[in-house]
Amino acid sequence: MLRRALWLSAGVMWFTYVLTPIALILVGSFGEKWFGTLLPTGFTMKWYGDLFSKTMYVRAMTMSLFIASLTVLINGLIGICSVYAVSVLRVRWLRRAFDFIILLPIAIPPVVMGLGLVQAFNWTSFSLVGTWQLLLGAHLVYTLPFMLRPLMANMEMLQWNILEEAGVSLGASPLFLATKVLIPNLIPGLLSGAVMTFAMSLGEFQLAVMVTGSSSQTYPVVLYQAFYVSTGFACAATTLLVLFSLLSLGGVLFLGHFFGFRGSSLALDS
Amino acid sequence: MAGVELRSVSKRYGKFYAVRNVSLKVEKGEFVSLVGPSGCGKTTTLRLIAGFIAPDGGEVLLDDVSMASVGVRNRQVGIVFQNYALFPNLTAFENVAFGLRTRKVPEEELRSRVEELLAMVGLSGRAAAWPRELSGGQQQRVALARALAIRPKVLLLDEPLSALDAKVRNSLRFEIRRIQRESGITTIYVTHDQEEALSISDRVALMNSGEMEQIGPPGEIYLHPANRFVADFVGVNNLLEGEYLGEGRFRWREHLLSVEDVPLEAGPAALMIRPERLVLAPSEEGADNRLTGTVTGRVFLGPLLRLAVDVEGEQFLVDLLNTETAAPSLDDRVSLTFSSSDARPVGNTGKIPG
Repeated sequence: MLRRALWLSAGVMWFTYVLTPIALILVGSFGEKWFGTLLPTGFTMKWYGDLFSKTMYVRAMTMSLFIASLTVLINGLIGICSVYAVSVLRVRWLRRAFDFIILLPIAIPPVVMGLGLVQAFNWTSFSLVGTWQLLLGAHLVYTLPFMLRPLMANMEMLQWNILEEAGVSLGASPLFLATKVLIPNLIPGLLSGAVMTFAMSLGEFQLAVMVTGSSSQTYPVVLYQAFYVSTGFACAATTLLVLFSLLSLGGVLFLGHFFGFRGSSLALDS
Repeated sequence: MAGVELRSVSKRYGKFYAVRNVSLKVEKGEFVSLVGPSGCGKTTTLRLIAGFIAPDGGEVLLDDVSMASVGVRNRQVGIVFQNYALFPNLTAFENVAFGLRTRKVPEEELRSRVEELLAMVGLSGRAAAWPRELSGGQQQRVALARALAIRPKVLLLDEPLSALDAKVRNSLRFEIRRIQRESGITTIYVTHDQEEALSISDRVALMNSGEMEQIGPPGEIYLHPANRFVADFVGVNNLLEGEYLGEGRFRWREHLLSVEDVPLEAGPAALMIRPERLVLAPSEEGADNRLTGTVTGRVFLGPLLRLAVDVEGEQFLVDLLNTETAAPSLDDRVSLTFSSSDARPVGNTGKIPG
């Protein structure tokens, strides 16, 4: 009975706080007018037309997708190298240090990090502030823990030390082992890390708003400005972001399925 | 020609010797087990042969060639691990083929070799199976085929059956031996299970605290242990603390016993009598090698009935064939006797190298 009540209330909360806002925004993006009523009135597609005709929004979305993709790619590489190094070196204090270092960006609020970055890389002769490279760097640091966590769990479950010994005794070179055994077996961790980091980078606002300039604005930054245009327009712009998030999530899952990762039953909960 | 040879090999961690001055010569095609309690250095010895670790002293030779400057990758050793260590992202076929792929063996040759090996371990039908779809026993068979695929100079098995349940363990044990005979490969088998070692090996090497205690055929180890450790570790035993008087005489408490005449210095020693060599004596027989006590326990072991007999406060184990003849029951007074050749005095030290 208690179990049922708990499930029910969880369902209601999810419905209220997650589904309803998204649904309202979706509805709002097709509404002609939304002022003083519970639901918008009239049906129109013009907000979407406006959205795609404004180069600022298209460019910002392109920039966001670009930054998020690079973040996933680079963090994936960093992630694989780091978990490999930590597992191979087998030094306990190094592991602890590693755990601490990857947790640090979670403990520091993005605002603090953004301020620090602006202060550190803004010199009169040469400034990185406003460039996409600085934002990329910020996103890399900010999202790395979420790539490393599942990878570390994956690596631990793999018992790599023994697999490596088996492989080496069969004559495999380090490169052969990495491409034929290590990376294929890290795909589950890599995928769940990729989903997390991509979504985080795509929707990240605090760092982006402080670090980017007009040429490197990402979508959440321009989206924030959209609410000053009109409600319907802002709803359409938001819907687009949600759509891209879901599409990329689906894409990653499809990739995972496409690569046919059936060899291992590694379940990744962490 | 020796398939594997260890020449006074030592491995130290700080001041602790994991392996101390171990010498071992394994003939080509021979099956030798390394046995001992955990921490005795048997796995370290195996890893020294494999090349995962380098000795601090001494030398490892494979096919009479020193391996001092040869790494694991080029040693051509096949290794089977306790937890199978199959590559989870590869099918059974690809796992077996792994070592052939690293050697760039042509596809056709590779295919026939892998199929031949899978047939050898009885898994022809499961070539396409993923490791997780196979039972523990099947996974270990794949691991065995994978290790054999590279035609290794020596096959090293590190407690390969420890993770399996008893029934599979027993059948796979003999299958490993059959495959080893068929392929004629030099094999070193590490186990903590002395029974397993005795049942499948040509020779057994017993280790304790990093040192080799005794090397010999199973029968030799069982019947003629070199010292108290071996006598205690191998099989079930009655060990009586007493004094060896020389020339086949042994004093235990007030009893003067006639025992096997062994080249052992007179002095404190233990007398070893296997439970199956103790005989229940009719009461009117002569007084030579005769001990009287009370039955304090009876354990049914299938073919055997094991009695615990209390003789002057010392517990003796006596194995009787479980025939239908009436066996003594609890609290019965019984007389135990044994022939002098079945009682062997063992000292604390003394080793028999192979």
